[in-house]
Amino acid sequence: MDVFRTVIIAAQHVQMARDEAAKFEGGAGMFTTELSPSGLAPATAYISSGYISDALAAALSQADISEEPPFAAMARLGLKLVQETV
Amino acid sequence: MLGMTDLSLSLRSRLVGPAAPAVPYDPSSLFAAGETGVWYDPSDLAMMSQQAGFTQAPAVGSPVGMIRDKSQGTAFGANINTATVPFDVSNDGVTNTPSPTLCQVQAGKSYRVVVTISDVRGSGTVGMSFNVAGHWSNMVSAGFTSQVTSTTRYVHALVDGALTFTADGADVDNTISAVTVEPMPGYQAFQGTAASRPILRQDAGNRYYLEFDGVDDGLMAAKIDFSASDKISVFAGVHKATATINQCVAELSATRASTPGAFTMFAPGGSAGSYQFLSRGSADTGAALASGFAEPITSVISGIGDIAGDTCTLRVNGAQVAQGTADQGTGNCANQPLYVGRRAGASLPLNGWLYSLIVRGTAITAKQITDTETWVNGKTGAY
Repeated sequence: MDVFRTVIIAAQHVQMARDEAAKFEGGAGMFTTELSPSGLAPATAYISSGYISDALAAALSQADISEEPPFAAMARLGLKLVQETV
Repeated sequence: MLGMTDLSLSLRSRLVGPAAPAVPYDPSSLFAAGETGVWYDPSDLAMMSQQAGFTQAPAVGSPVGMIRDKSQGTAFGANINTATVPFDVSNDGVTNTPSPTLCQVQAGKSYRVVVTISDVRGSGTVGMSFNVAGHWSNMVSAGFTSQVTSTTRYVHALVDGALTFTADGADVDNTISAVTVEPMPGYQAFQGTAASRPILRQDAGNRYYLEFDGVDDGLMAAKIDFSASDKISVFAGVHKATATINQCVAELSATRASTPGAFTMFAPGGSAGSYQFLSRGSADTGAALASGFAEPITSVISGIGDIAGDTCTLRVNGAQVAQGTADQGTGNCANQPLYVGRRAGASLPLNGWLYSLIVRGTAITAKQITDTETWVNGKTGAY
């Protein structure tokens, strides 16, 4: 069953989280959006938000996982999207 | 007593019959002569799937993993599978020919694959996958139970190559009696990553749209060849929710800045309250930005690019609001992927709603522009 989740993972754990997610249907390609407290690089965390399988959500044990909309979860953790140049 | 007008009308009626009723405008007319482009219509629920490789249509509130391009019609092509069937599926997989090649597939194109199982002799599952070099694997592999006698999947090829088929009949011993591969017309936009799929919504006016979350949502059409022309037209019905600058509605190529013949549509553009369209030839100079559209706001945005003519035109709600006339260099439009809602599927995410998106190569007339804007507005309700 798919569930809505916002998942935020610290930068030092992101590759492990990507590898774990890729084992699940629809899990490859997660955690590409960078976050930081100031909104400036370097990223201190990465975010994915949307519908994922409950099995995938359960597998991401080192992440902050909530049912909040993404910007609410980011605000709770004091994080902003890293602004990219055009 | 009859006047001259009555006599004229009577005579006309006898000679040529009553005037034909006006035919409602349909964007398919933009592509009637085979013009390259795409037409994504979120109001047509039958043209979408919740997952990129599966056929289940979305309901309001569910993710959209694929939206079909309606520009070239919706009828599937004839079967191009050349492999011999049946395949005997046992615990060893396809036993007669391991990983047989079904057909050659083309980069940027999508295919409907229908597999029919007969002679079911087990109660387990049959794992299946369709592979082509460069494919997005989690979009094209799927298991299904042996009780299912027919199943349909969509395969999206990112590169040219051979489409191969494998099956693993764990705990079962069945026969796959038929496999058909039917090309899908046009260029479908899809998203293989579950969390990055936009959500189908309806607004207060019951209009359907795709909601992009401003974080990681986006769609991609693998490759569209616009290189036959130096002109491009882009029409979008958009609600931009926030003032964060440079939110990508659509972009041809991973980044226009380094790709001759590409375009970008931003909402907002480089400043809050703006819209922006950029198009280019060999020089990245075509730019049109207009302010005065404070967020949140819903609009119909049109971008018209002309490399040889050195014009990059931005229209909002049926009126021209900006035009750049810098020399765009030479060349034609690009043969590149189209990204929707996020640059290169990786940055500059759109926090907003998409009601409609139409992109067309080749020159376009003023009437086609206004007719298309009016049609998009019918789906958007902007003005």
